[in-house]
Amino acid sequence: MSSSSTTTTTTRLLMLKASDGVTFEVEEAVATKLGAINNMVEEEGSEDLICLPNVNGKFLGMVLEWCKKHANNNTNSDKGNDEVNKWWDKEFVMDLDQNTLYHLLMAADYLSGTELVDLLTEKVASMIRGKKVEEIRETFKIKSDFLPGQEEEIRKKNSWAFE
Amino acid sequence: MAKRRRNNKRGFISDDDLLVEILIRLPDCKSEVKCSAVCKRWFSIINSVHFRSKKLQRHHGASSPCTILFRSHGFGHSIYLPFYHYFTEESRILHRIDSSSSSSSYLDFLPWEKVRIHSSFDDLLLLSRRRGQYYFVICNPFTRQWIELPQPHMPLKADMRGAGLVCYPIKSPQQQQQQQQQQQHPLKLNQYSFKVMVVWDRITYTGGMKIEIHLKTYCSETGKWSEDIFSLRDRMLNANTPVACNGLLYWLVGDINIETVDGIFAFNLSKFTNQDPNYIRFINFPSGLLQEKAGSFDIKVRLGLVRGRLRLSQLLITKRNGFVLRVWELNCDNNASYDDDDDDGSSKRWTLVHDVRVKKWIDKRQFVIAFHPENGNVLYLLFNRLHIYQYDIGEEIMEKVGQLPDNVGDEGFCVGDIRTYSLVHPLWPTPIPASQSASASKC
Repeated sequence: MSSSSTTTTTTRLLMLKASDGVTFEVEEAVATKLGAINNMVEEEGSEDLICLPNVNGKFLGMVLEWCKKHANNNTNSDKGNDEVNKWWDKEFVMDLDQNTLYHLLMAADYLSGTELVDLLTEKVASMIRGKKVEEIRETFKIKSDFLPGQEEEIRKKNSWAFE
Repeated sequence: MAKRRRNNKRGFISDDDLLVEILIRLPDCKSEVKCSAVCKRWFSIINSVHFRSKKLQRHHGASSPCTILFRSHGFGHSIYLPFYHYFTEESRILHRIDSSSSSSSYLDFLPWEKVRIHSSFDDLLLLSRRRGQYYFVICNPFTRQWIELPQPHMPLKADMRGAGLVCYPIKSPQQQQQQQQQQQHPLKLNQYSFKVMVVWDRITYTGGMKIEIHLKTYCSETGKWSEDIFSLRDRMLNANTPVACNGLLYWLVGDINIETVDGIFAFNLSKFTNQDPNYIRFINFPSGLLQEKAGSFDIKVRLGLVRGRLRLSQLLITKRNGFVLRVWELNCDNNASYDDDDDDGSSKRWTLVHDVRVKKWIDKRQFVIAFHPENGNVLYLLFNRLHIYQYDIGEEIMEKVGQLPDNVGDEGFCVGDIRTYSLVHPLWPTPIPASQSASASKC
């Protein structure tokens, strides 16, 4: 794709504007870790300001923080960096409260940050693991909408899974 | 991609695609079933074809959990219930086993004390119990469901030699064509058909020793047993466990007096129930298998299943304190050549996959006891009647993974009496028909 003649590929900066008007100045190499941004850059070429009306500034900031870390760690790619990334990812998701996790996941999905979506869905799955049905409902604040008897039938049919 | 995302009424993760992404990451089917009882939406997602295919995609190429059960075929109490279980790493996760201590018995949920394992198929076991007559039971030990088969008529004055199980999903003829190209249908749904074959034999001495073989085959689609009788002279189906592969049941045959084996019978159970007289075929051993009397003792030759393909191993101790191990694989893809009359198709039929000569491990009593059902480079060997080693041929790693209890049975046991049954747990446990699992919950 044709890039503007005055900027070099390593230092080009993009402005990302979140739904609440907060803007972020990010290196292109960082922002294009997000599939959605990458597409916009390729399609619109020289446009430097990108509006993201579906993402709040707080979560956009977190997504970009993650991108930055991974972009930096990936520049000199050897096996040690994989470990660093893994360790950093673990820290990143460790203390997320549920609300943040939820919105972050939505933001990552909207921005097509495949690896981040992977990390976050894995985190949610780990919150389900080993829990009883009631505990899952409680954790995720879900109300059972089964008709009387329906849940019992599922339990009876799969009694092996409910011991 | 335009979706309403802020729909709080749907609860956490209102986006279906994201929820699917989360749920396919659950490590075991138990969590999955539990999730299906959370609410209607989760239920319909987990039971959707889309979810199943996404999960298959994600786990494509991953190693299925395997469990190997050990049973003694000797006398006394040890012939009942497995006395040892080996779980692969994946299987430990599936069964939620944390430490090395294994539970008392893998089958202790059954209401009968004296149950005998006959064979395995995927995650199913064929069992029998005896109360005057034989009763056969098909059981999924993971889900703890079972079904008791109608009783077969036992032939008089005959001994039961063994029994095998074949199970496959019931599907339309179109799908059947695809099945031949693919080992496993991508979407195993809930309808399965079972076939069971039980072999009795009776020895008669009129003009030399004659062995009368009584075959009884049960088909779940008809709910009936059918039977056939044929005779062999001086030869008999081996007491080792038959192995089911591609709908056929493979059984070692050999000399009745000395415990040697010299070939394989392949029983086509579908042809059997359709009364096609060609249901049985003889398959020669591969030409490289040493068939001197000492070489083909049945404890030196093993049949097993690796990723749905039949393998045969022979382990011979060399004079220089080592061993030679050969493993062949049966080419059953080529149906055309398989149905040809074989004059000597043995070379085309078998592929030598491993031929190793090992000098490092000095022990004169080592035997192949099982194949790793998922990894073709890995076999399990028994050293000194006690120690189970996992032998990775490719990596040349011999690693101890277990030890048999040394007080097995009332009289102890010999290596030739050890039977192993491999369970391979699919992504979704094979269901046992619902009418019978009611009886399971009663107990």
